Amino acid sequence: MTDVLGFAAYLLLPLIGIAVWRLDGVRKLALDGRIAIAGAAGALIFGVAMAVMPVVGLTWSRTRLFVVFGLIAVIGFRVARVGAGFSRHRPAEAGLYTKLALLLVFAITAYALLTARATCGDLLFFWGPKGVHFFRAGKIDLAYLADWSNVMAHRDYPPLLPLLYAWSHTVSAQFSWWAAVLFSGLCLAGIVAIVRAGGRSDVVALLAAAALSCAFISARVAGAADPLLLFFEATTAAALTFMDDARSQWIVAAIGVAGAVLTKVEGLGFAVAVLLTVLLVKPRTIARAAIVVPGALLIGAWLLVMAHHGMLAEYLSHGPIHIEYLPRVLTSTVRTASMETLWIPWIAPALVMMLGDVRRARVPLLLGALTFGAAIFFYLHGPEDPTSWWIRASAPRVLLTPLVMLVMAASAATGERTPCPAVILTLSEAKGKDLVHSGGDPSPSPRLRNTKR
Amino acid sequence: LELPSFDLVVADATTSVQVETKAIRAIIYISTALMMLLLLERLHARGGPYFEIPRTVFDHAVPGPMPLSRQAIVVSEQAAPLLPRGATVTVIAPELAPNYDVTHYLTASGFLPRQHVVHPTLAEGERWPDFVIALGKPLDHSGYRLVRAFPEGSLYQRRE
Repeated sequence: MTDVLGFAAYLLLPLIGIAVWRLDGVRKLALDGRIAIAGAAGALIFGVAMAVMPVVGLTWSRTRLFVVFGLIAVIGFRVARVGAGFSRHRPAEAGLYTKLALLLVFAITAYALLTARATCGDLLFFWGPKGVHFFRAGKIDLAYLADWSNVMAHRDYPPLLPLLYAWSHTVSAQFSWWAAVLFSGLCLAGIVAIVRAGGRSDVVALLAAAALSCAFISARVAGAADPLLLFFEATTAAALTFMDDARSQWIVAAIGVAGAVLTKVEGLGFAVAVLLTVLLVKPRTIARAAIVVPGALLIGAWLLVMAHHGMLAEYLSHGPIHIEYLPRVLTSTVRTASMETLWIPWIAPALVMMLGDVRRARVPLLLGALTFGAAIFFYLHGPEDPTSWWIRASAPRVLLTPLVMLVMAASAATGERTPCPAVILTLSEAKGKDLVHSGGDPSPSPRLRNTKR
Repeated sequence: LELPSFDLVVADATTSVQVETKAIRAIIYISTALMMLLLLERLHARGGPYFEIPRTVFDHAVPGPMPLSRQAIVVSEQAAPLLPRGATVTVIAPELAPNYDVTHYLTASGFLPRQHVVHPTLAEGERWPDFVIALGKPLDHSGYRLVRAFPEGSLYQRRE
């Protein structure tokens, strides 16, 4: 029962973030994509609310958290105008076999999670214990973090995941480690839903599910912060790639960036990549660059608290750059990227993307390239020879961000191309409308442009 | 402006899209099948039993014998009823002395929230914790007496 309740706590998160359904860009998505985006918003909103409550004298109790949860959900439902005017555009369905294959992939993933074959040690070492102690303290337990015995528990790591674990602990009375493991599967399902809704294709969703579950399980990330980080990153990339309404794009991308920086140190690198991407890719506007501002304010507040209590460590760690290590760093990173699956999770989306319109995939491609570059940059600052354990131990997880971006690039490049009626529509209505996939220049497929000659 | 025949354009475009779509689908189906086969092989390599509910969330995370982190969970859960609230406890693997492995007591801090789980300070002149959970091999320390032995480890209490 503890595990069921603990897992149900995570399933409630979309109710908290349902206000984002008001946004036009979200309303156009299929239902699973809308739920996933609402889940990202809910995780961020509730995490921030839990962090702020003790500051205003409201230490957590089950009653207080449920009241806050209920209030946010009710307001969200009223704001979202649920039930009115959603898109009826369903993803291009690919038939029974694709759906069965998708189910099979999720079944194998669930098997791996439920038989403890994908659990990350970091869940046991610090993410889980932080959640337990935060719950018992009724707040972010600075005394626990400041304890010298916990100096190895990465005390200044961002607090969002332990806050969500504390929320699950609140609902289930005892902390459910299995629910924490399954939460990673939920994040994976959320990413696949976003890819499916954005690319409007079941087949591309199958590719996303297979590549990412393969990578998740090979890298053993269950229970760690990586799946939640990737979920927020996918939310950001989806907003910048699949949403054409500027307001939706700004809000959803800002939610994704804020969630990413509050989840893991690597989220800060992702935020920098987003900033560079929106500055490089048209349309370049100040509003788009401001996507990173809410995240910067939130992580800035956390780092100020950590600095005030003398616990800032991970964000300050740096060393001299070792350019001479570059060939070995690259070789070692690329070798580790195989994820014991012959690089297929990389090769397949790359091939699919190349068969589509690559220009539509500029945003996720650039994000992927920048985050890959950031990983190499940090490895060059490593304290040890990069051929040591560091890259082998961390690269399978660090490289998940570029992999998710590559999968989203494949979705963006090929999405909405499956059904023939879309082509006829493009030709017949091209004078009046830009029916091209949002997030890119008006660019009918190369084949269509060639027909003008 | 000369425009090609509308019907011809639609036919060409439709055909090309269909060909590309078939290619994309072929790539996705084949790669998915390959990835799932490789994944199943990885899952198999992480050891059996394959169709039993594991004792802990870490049972099959690494191939080979049960990892000590898993034993830390099991012994912490078994020792918890024997430990007074607020007692200082540490968890070590004696075979990894003198540095032990910090991950074991970090793990225990999530499973013994009513106690104060501390870094192993067992050398002369250090402040010894009230209890020590030793994983695997027994603890050889004159300052502690055995309280209870479990299959995965033992609980020791500091002598007064």
